Amino acid sequence: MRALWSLMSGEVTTMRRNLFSIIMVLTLVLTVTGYYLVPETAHTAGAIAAGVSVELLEDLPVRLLGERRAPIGNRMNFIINLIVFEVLILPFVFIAVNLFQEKQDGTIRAYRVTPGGTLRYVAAKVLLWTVLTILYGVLLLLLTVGWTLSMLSWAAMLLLFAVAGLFISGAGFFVALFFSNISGWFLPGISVLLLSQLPIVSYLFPTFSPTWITWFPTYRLLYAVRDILTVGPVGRMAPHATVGGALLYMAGLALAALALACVAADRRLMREARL
Amino acid sequence: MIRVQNLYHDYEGKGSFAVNDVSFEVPAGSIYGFLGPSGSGKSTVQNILTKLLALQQGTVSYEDVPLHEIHPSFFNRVGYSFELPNLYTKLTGLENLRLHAGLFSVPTEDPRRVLDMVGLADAAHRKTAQYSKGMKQRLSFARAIINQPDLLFLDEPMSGLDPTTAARIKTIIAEKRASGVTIFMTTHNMYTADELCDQVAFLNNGRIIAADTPRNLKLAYGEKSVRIEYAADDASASFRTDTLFLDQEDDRRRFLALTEAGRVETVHSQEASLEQIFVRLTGRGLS
Repeated sequence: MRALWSLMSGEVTTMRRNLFSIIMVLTLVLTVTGYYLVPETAHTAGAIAAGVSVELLEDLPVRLLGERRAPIGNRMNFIINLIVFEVLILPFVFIAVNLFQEKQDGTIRAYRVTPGGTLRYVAAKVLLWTVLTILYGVLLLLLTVGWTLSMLSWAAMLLLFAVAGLFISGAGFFVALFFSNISGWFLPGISVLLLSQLPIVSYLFPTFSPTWITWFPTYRLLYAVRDILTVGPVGRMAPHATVGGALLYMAGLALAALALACVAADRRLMREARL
Repeated sequence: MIRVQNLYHDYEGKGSFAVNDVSFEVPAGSIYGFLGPSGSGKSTVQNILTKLLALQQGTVSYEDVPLHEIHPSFFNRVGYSFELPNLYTKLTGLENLRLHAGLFSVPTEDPRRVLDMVGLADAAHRKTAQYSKGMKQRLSFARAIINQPDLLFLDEPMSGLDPTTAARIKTIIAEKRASGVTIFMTTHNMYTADELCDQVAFLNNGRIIAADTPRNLKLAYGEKSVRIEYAADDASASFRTDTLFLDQEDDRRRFLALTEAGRVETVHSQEASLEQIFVRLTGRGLS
């Protein structure tokens, strides 16, 4: 526990000095400002997605993806997307940057001559960024939707932030292990991030929802966040994205990402001769 | 005690050994020096001993426990000062030591006290990115002793240090040995090795070519003679020099006569330095 705390506090200080905190605060301010600048009228695509009248389309074959709901406002759509594609992207990038800093400093070599071990090393990084993800997400929600959510919705959001934070941090760490600096990581890393945003297309145009896209973690997250923020965690709006299902799905992915991160860290960081 | 037997290491797996059939023992509470030029295999051996490199062939044991059976908690007893100081450059010296101390599950030294010991108290709150090479080296050394290790690995510990600071570090090393710490040190500095080490091994091209106490090596490879400067007995010169072999009766008598007459001004024993021995054995220098 002492070792975990020591590693995490060192990482927080490094993060502070790398100006990550300023970037996070700026992002938060911009996001909240954007939220209040968006006019609170129903978004056309959102309306189609959630509340279009089936009668108007009776001559066309229609498959409902979930229960019919009232249209979701622009602001809510804005925040749903940003929760998935901003809050959860931060740990993916920052955990990589911190790892590259350590690789550059060569501190991993010194760490290897301590009783720390691989598991503690990975856990310290992933847990720290999961906690920061939760804090950032909660702060963002408080500054936008405020206390309007039920306790059950808050609990579901916290759980979702936790499992998604674990997954994204673990995955970000795993990807970063294969590169020695940010230059090498940039193209593949950004490609992964861009690819992860593909479900936005399905979210805005639900008629485009092939099975393969429903397996994207961000697809499940988008609909889970939307359900929690609009109809509550027990609601169901899309066949592949019940909140409970999304939580389980993300928890499974988080476990897999952490296991992969530990195995890869052991092979690529803790046995490498020159690190 | 550290025991190493028939150690080999091949980085590329092509039969080109960086370490070739190396065997030695380091008694508990002593300083063992690995002396050799860059690329001779010193650091490779040290890295294998600390599991930074995989053990490919040979055996390494600590107090008769083989390296592969050693539990991670063993590293609570180990300190390692690296040749290239690998510090958290965004953290201050004090923060670096605090972080490192937190990784051990044994009582650790007070980081401020250790910083003071190595002369970095004034720079405790400065980021290590701003440290000079010598300061980084001292901090790396301070980090190595933060967990009060009883096995200390020092890779070129005097590298980049000015004479005053080097003397300070040497004093700490000597104190650690006096308190029972076993120290394994690599260096290409013959003076450091001569001054500190109980035993040294010369390493060249991955092989140990000679190993003994510095005194025995010097006796074995040096000449048993003294070079003297003495006052001249005529006006043609103020002093004269001579080399006398004291195991020869005539030279011994002459030396005694000059000494009794009070004419001897300087005396230098002619044992070889460690560097001279190394050159004689390998045909190459240490640096």
